[in-house]
Amino acid sequence: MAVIVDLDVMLARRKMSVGDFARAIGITPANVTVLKNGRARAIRFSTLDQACRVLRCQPGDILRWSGDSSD
Amino acid sequence: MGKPVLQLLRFVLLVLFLGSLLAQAFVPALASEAARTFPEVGPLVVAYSIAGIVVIACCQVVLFVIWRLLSMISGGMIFTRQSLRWVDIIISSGALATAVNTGVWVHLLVVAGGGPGIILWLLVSLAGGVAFVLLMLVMRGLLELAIADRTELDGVI
Repeated sequence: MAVIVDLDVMLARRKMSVGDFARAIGITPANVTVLKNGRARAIRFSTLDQACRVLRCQPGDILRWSGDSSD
Repeated sequence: MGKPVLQLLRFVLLVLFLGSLLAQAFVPALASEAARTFPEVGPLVVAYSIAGIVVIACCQVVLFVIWRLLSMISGGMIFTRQSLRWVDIIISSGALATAVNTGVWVHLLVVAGGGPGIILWLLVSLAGGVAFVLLMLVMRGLLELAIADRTELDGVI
């Protein structure tokens, strides 16, 4: 997909595990993994809001657009 | 979905099913009774009894499938492709019942040579049956849309 999810980068920078992050923003660890691996079809603004709050970052730090879409 | 509503509907479906079994058992007797009143339809008793039993059997299939769909609602499985397969059975049964029922009235019209009563019954069963089948096709379309929306929403995190 042309929109890349850089969640793993942010998690590493904040030294946060998938389980802790999932608990902090109130979604299942399975859904965090789906998000991290770029297999999610969409993300709710409320989820994005919580993620930015917990990771103390901007949406642009989590989502990145890459022009050349491979699939 | 309200649990009492589902349970009450289940109970009503069960009553209807038992009633239809009773009706099925009475069909041959009713047909013989009619043949005694109108001896000219005597040769039709067996064929019409079979037609009546088949039509009621179609209704029983519909009742059973509604029961299945209610179970899928309770189990949270109603918005899956599986439920469309069950709805298809309802539509096929409704179409078959309408065809047999209308066929009987057309045949009676040809054999008995009409009468306003027969024409009225013919029109009622044809219109009722066609309306039921078309309504089920519309509901199936809505269910298909709901399944597509649910699948789409499941991908939202």
